[in-house]
Amino acid sequence: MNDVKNPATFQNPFSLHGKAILVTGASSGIGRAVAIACAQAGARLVISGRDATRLDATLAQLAAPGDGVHQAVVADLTDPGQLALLAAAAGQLDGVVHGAGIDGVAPVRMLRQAFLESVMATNFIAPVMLTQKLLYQKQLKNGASLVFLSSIAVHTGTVGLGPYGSSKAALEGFILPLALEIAPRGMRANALAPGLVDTPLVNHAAEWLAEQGKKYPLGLGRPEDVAYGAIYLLSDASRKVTGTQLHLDGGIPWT
Amino acid sequence: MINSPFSLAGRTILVTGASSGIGAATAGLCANLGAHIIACGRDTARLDAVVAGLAGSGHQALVGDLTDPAARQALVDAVMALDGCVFSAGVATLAPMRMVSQRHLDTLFAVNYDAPVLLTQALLAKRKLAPGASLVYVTAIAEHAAPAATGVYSGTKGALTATVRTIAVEVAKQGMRANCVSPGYVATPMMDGLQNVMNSADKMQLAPLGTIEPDDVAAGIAWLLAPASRWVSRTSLKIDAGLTLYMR
Repeated sequence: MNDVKNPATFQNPFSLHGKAILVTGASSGIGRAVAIACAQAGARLVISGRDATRLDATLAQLAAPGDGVHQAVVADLTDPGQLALLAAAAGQLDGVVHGAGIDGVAPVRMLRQAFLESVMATNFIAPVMLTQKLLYQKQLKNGASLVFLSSIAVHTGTVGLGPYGSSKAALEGFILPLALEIAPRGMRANALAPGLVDTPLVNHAAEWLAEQGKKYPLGLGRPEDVAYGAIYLLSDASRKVTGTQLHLDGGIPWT
Repeated sequence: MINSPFSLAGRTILVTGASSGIGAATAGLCANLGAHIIACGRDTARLDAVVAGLAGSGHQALVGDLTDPAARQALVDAVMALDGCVFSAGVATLAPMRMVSQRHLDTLFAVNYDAPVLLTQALLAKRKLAPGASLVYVTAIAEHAAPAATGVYSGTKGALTATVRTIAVEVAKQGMRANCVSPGYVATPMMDGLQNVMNSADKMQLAPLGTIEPDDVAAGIAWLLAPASRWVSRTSLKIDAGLTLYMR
């Protein structure tokens, strides 16, 4: 699949046919949209999330894979035991999208250590340790693509987003050495840095969301917009793209 | 594929510098994805050969040097309702700072900066871009790296990147987008032309993921042209095989 002269690859370089992709946080929002779009692009999925009912709802929306069957694994990845079970169930993978994440809003003056630790545990430590486990157990095939969900909050300041923004900044820092360590096997690591996307993480306050949307020249993002960015990064179209942050933000000049 | 957000079916895409390298690869891939290509370049024979090799039909070759105002005018007059533009015409010549001349500056800026900016201006002024059009400018990681003797070349690309940010803000009102693709060292005739002044093979081997082919850059450009990237604007997509991981 990595052969540039392979006409099938460059007929549709965005195809995920024949690829096995693990998507965490697939029970809602961006993770769910990524899983659905990856299945449409031909991938076989392993999806993971904390809520069994909602994860099953995602599973039911996945287009049938070319070969094999999709798999759903309920897991809370802040628990090392459950993380290990997910890795054990995932098998050999061509790509991972670390979609699991929580918001982390607290002004610094009001910040509690336990809260900061819980944000870091979900948004930073879980994807890092899942990557560690998959590499250590040799579950990532040559050429595999690892996609991390970052945020525009790493690149612009937003009042109150200290815990969230710094957990994502840590992820962006992590992918630089990771990209170098895995490059000898043609593997890649990149981050998606979306602006404000209409998902359950943020859309509980409709009025606030609409107001924020006015700042975006091309409007608020949709989960599919992020999913299609993930497909570019997962596919062979981006086989020479590594260590980058892909900005998906409607061209917003300032937040 | 037709209904895929990654399809370019039925879209008319202008590609400058289409007679070789990244431009030729982009024309080829976009045609494979269903686009009608308007290929622009200076060399008639090479441009005709590229267009003859494109999949599908309805493609067009327009020969012209886009540093020439008359050629730009003719191009703008000849096109309508473009869904995408790829500005990939560019030149690279090297000069250490003590050797830089006005002529060196003028030549590089004329091709790498003035031509794409003035062509954009004319396409906007003459309303030749369809609603939702996507503009993609080929820059280079030189804008960050700027190794010895690339001062002016890097300057042209850095200047273009800055201007594209403004273009993106201005065209957003019509739902249009503008982005850069910033490649590392790509195996193209342009790089071959620099062999006598720098060892480009060595440069390519520095990159953790090795040599970048024109098709790799074309694929990034195609993503930025497709509806799949509807929400992506005012940014730069680095396709550098990891080379900038080493760069401060």
